[in-house]
Amino acid sequence: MMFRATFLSTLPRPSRMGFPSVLLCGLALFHLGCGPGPQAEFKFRDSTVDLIGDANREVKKTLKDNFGTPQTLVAWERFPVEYGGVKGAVTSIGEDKSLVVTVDGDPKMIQQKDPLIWISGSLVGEKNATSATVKSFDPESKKLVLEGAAVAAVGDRFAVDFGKDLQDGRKIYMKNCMHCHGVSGDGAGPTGEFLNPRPRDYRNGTFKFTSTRTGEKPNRDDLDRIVRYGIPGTYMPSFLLLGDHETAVVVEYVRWLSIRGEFEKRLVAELASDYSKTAINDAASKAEAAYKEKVKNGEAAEKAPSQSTARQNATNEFKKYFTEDYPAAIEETANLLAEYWNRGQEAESVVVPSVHRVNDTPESRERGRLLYLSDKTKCYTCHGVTGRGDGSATEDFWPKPNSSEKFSKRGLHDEWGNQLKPRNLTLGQYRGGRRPVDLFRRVYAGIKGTPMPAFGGTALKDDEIWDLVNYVMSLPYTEKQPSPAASSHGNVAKREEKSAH
Amino acid sequence: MTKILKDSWILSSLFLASVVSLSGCGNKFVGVEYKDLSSGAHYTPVVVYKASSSATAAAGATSSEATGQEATSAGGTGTLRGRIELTGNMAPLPLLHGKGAEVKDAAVCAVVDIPDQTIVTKDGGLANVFIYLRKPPKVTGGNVGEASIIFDQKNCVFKPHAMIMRVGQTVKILNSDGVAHNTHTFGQKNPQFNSIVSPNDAVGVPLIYKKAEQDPISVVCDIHPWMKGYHLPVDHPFAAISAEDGSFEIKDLPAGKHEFKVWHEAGGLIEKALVVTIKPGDNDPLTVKVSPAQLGK
Repeated sequence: MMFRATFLSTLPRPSRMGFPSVLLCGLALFHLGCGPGPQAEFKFRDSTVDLIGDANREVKKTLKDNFGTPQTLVAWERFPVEYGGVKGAVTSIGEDKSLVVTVDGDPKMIQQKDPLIWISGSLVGEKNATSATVKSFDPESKKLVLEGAAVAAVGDRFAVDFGKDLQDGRKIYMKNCMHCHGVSGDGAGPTGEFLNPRPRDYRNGTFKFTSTRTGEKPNRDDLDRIVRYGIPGTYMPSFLLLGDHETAVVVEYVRWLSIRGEFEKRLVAELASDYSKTAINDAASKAEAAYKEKVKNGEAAEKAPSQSTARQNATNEFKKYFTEDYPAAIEETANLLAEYWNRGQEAESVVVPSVHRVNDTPESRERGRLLYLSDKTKCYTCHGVTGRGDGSATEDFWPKPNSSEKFSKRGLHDEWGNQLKPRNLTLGQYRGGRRPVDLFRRVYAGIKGTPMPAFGGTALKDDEIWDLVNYVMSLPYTEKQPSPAASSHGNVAKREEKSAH
Repeated sequence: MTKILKDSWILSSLFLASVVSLSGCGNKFVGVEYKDLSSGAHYTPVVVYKASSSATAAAGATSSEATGQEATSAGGTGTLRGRIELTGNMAPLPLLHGKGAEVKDAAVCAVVDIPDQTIVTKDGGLANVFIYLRKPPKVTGGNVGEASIIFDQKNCVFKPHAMIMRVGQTVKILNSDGVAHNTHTFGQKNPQFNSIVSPNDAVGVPLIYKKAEQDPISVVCDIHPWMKGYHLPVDHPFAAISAEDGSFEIKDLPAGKHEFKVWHEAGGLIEKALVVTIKPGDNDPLTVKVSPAQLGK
C-alpha cells in the first residue's frame, strides 16, 4: 500500500478540472480506436513515382486497369493464377429459357444463388459479378435456370462464383500476412521494418527457397510448404493451423501479388531510362558538364538543354511512345510473366536428384568435407572453413549490380539490397527445409536472389552433391571441426589432406 | 489517508474513461456489418474478370505493326564504321591490384597485374562502349550469329570484359583458372543466372539468354569481388562494342534512318537516340566524342 501511495503521489494532484479532462481523454480514445481505418491501397514502387508526369500517370493507370485495388481486384486470365469458381458453356436452350450446360470442373460446386458472369458471347461486359444469379441447377441433368438474366446463346461461356478464391485469399492475406509483407506484397508492412531478416518483397517475382531449377519461378508446392511450415531462423512462422482451402487460396493471392509487383517493375524498367526524373536530370547534368569542359578547352560547343527543357522534351517524346510502343510493352511484359510462371509449374522445372541419396557414411562425409574445402566449390569463402558462415566474403566490399558503385556495407547482399549472412551450417537450422532433398536442391540450383550459385548439372555430379549434403548435415553434430586456423585463401582441402598423411 | 483517497479518485476516473472508451467501441460495432469497414481482413473485395486478351492488347498489336524501323532490306544494306573518342586527357586508372598482391586466391588471381577495366583508352579512343539499335528493326538481316560463343575467366578477370550475344545463342562460360568462379548475371528481362564454374572447365557451363535486354547488364563473380563484366543480349545483329582504340563496325545495316544507343559502364547511356542515316555500301565514319565528365571523371 505504501508503495502504491508513493507512486501515486508522484502524479499531479487532481484539480477541479481533473474529471472533465479525463473524460475528454476517454472520448478522444473512443474516437481514435473505433472508426474504420484508412482504405488499404497498393503502394507504387519508388521507380514508378520517379517517372515524369504523363508516364507516371499512365503506368499507375495500367496497373489499376489490369490489377485493380485492394477493394476491387482485377483477375486477369492471362496469368496462371487460380482465381476460383467454376466455368462452363451453354450447349442448348430450352423453351422456358432454361439452359443445358457443360461444366469444366465439379458440377456440385454450382449452388443456388451463386453469382454468374458471362465470359464469351454477346452478354460479355455486363458490368459486375452480380449480373446474374443461379436460381436452380441440377448437377445430374446439368440444367441451369438463371434469375432474371438476359438470354444467352448456345456456345456462350460463363463462370459461376468467379474470383471466389482470390477474394478468400485476400482476406486470409490481410489477416495473417499483411502485417509483415504489406498490402502490396512489398515486405514493408507495419511490422516489416523491425525484422531482420526482412520479410520477403514479392514484387521482384523472386522467391529464395524453391524446388525449381535456377532462374525458374517457384511452383505452388514451394509456396504451400513455406506457408505451412514457415522458415526456421526467420520471423516467418508456420501457418499449419490454416485449413487446406485457406492455404491454397493465400498461395494464389501471393502469386497474384507477385505478378502484379513484377509487372510494375518490368514495365517501369522499360520506361525508366527515357522518362524518369533521375535519368533525365542525370543526362542533363552530364551534358552540362561536357559543355563546360568544351568551353574551357576553347572548343565550339552547343549549349546543353536545361533540366526543365530536357523534361519537357521527354514529355513530348512520351506522347509518341505512348501511342506507338506502350501497348506493346504492356503485352510483352504480360506475356513474359505468364510464360515464366507457367514454366515454373511444369514438372520439368523441378530439381529431382538422378541418384538416390548416397549412404550417410563417414566416407561420404569425408568426400563432402574435401569438396567443401576445395577450390572446385569454394564453399568456405562464404560459409567459412568451419561452416559458421564467417568466410572471407563477409569481410569484402562487393559491387552493386548494374551500377558502378559498391555496397557501403561489408559482406554479401541479396537482390533486394539487404546485407546477407551466409548460413551458419553448424546450427542445424535450414531455412529452405531440413529434408535432405531440400539441401540437395539448395546446392543444385542455388538460392534465387542471393550469391549462392547453382552447383548442379555441370560443376558437381549428383552423388557429389549428396556427399556435400551428408557432410553439411553432419556439421551440427560433429565435435571435430576442420581446422579454423587454416587460411581462407588458397586451397584449404589440399593442405588438410597433406597434414593428414 | 485522505491523500490515498484523493489519489484513488484519479484511478477511478481513469477506469471510468477506459470503460467509456471500451463501451463506445462495443456500441459502435453492434448492428454494423464488417463489410462497412473499408479496409482490413474483414472487407470482402469485389473481383472483376478480365479476359486474357484485353482490348489494350489488340490495339497494341496493330500499332506496333505500323511502326518500327523505317528501313527495309530492299533498299540495300550498308556498313557503319566509326570510333568512340575520349576528349581531353585522362590519366590511366590505377591497377585493381598488382602482381603478387595479397588478394583472395592470390596464387591464381595475382600472378599478373590486374587492370581496372572501367575506362580503357588507347590513342584517344575509348574501348568497351556498346553501340546498338535503340529499337529492334522490323526487318532483320545479316548473320544470325554463331551457334555458341565463349565467355572465359582467366586470372580472375572476365574475358571479354564486354560482350554482345544473340538471343538464343549459347554462351559457353569457361574457366581457365585453377579455382572455381561463379558467374552471376543481373538481367532485367532475363532471370538471374548464377552458376558455379569448375576450375579449368574447358567444356563450359551453357548460358542462353531468352530475351533481349534494353541496355547492357552486369556480370559478377560472388567469389572474387573485383570481377566485373557486361553482357548485352540482342535480338538483331546490329550491335557492336568498341575495340581498344575506340573503333567499331556494324555490317549489313538496312539502308535508312536508324537510332542508336551508345552505352558505357562508367557513363551509362551516353547517347539515347543517335540518329544515323545509312546508305547502301560504305558510309562516312561516325565519330562519337565522350568527355571524361560524361564518365564521371
